[in-house]
Amino acid sequence: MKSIKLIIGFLAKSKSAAVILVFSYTLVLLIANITFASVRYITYTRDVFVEYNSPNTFYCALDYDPGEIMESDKADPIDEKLTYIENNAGKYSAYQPFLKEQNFVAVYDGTQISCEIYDKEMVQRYPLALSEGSWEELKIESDDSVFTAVSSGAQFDGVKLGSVVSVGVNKGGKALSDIKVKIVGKLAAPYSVPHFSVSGSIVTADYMFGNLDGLIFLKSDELINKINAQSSYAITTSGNFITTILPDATEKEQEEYITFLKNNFSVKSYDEIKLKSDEKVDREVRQRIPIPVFLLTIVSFALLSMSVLFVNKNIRDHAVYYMCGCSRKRSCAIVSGGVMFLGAVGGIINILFVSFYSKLSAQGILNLNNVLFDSVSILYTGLILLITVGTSVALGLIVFRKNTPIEIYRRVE
Amino acid sequence: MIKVENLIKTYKLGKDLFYALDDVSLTVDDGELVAICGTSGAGKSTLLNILGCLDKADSGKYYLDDVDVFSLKDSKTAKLRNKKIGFVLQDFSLINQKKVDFNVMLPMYFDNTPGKQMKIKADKALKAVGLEDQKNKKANQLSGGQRQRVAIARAIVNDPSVVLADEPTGALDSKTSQSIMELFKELNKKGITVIIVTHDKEIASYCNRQIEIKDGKIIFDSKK
Ligand SMILES: Nc1ncnc2c1ncn2[C@@H]1O[C@H](COP(=O)(O)OP(=O)(O)O)[C@@H](O)[C@H]1O
Ligand SMILES: [Mg+2]
Repeated sequence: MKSIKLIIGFLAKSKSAAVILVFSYTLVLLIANITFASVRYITYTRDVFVEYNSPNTFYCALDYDPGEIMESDKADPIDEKLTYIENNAGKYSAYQPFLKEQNFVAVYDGTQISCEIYDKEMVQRYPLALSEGSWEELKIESDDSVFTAVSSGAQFDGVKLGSVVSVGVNKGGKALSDIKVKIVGKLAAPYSVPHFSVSGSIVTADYMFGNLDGLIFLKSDELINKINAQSSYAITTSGNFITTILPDATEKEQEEYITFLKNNFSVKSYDEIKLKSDEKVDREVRQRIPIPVFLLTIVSFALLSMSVLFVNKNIRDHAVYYMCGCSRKRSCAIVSGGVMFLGAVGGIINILFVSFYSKLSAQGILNLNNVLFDSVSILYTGLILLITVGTSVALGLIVFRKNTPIEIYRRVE
Repeated sequence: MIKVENLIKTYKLGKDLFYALDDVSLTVDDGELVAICGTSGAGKSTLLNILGCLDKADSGKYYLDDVDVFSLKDSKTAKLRNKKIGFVLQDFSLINQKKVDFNVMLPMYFDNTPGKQMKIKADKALKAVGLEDQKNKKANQLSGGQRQRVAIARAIVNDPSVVLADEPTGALDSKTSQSIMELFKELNKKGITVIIVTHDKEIASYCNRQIEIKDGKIIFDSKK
């Protein structure tokens, strides 16, 4: 307690400098953390896409007029269109099922969550890592109207595997909660799942994934009907989907089928997506990493020189402390404590931020879309902290020890 | 009891050695009031720093209450300064932007006195120097004489056996100086050994014993 008071005294010598330094160090660390997390996310989605897909994968986008969709009185016009085209595609021998992505917004425990509805093939294509449970348990059929789902995000941290929760769809501003769901698995971080909301003239892997704070269901008529019974426009089907062509089909059959796809959709091949994703990763690393690294270097030097400044400002006080019976060791500890504090606040805030990001995101308090925070981020932050703060403390102590108390005492005199 | 034998302290001056203390031997009994006089640069402060365990001599011996001071580790010497020695310097050596009572409590920040006890002891010390009503002011809001009283309160707060003062009245006018010297006399009456470094004969005359140093040597000791 007494030492803490003396450490505060150390910092109080230059309150505004301390505040500005702590603030800017915290901010720069935060910028660095978020930039790294975002670049890592791009890299991560590229890796997942490449790992789980093969060169005969295609990402297709339905070209539709949004106005026409809005005016349509059908519950899910895009789904109907896709189903219609898929029925025709079935005539081609190279045809493989379309892996569609559908989602709906629900309410769980008073908080809004997102839910994905996948076909069984999608789950088989992307057997994303679970922290608990297994994909095997995810069933199409309900068990006496209890559906199974895999959860994603911190929202379900407190829910035991196997327990049944209620979710509902918004209906006229009122949240119903009569869909009973048994949690059979929990996705491991990062909570990023196939989500096909984006397409364009260039498609990169990150377009095909999205952060999910919610649940993953397998598609069944029963589930769709249940949701539609609550609110008939609840389900959104993405106009984008992935599909493959049968590798066993002859080259001619494959070409015919690709032509069919191209006539109906804007089509991007696996190779194209991989190439563009690789380029994007390269670009992100080259363009985005240098700024936070530069800022980090600057504030680290600021921290370093400020530490020396603080030590110099405090040397006279420590001469007085020495006179009053403070040992050299104790003095060094107080000085180190003060210097450490300058960097540690920012580091701790950042580590807390990274650790609790998934909780903040689940609560809807903060959503930075497309970032990857995990234990590696914490490790990075810790490492940066250790290096900068370590150097500052070392430098501070060198400056401090160079002035022996007796010489300071002479100066005081 | 303070006992030093054959103290030698040198400083490097370019290639040569400068003898700041040249074979100094001295005994001060408990309860003495001693003045160490001499011109500027004679070695008074150097001697006082060694007596106060702030510095060590190159050679010689120092026994403080029979403890061989030079053989102690840094932390033990610090404890000795904390418990047995109080300092008063010419420029008051206070933490200026802190309150008076913080300054007086400072020595207790380096031992295990509980917080409540710290306040009680500080109040007592401030009362002894007549500043009990100033404890919430900042040190730099006081006059020179008051600051020196704060320094004295800090010096005595841990009930030391020795108080060492280096030109304690050097920055004060003569009237204030007299009252500070009276204060030292009072402390001495309570049994504390007081050693005062000064170049002022009038100040020295307050003390029962005068020692004069020149060029690092004791050239006069009124006790002998
Ligand atoms: N750290 C030091 N380095 C070099 N010379 C010193 C040092 N400390 C003291 N001296 C010299 O030793 C002599 C005695 O100094 P001091 O004890 O401070 O004298 P005073 O009697 O005025 O208090 C002076 O000449 C001073 O210049
Ligand atoms: Mg001197």
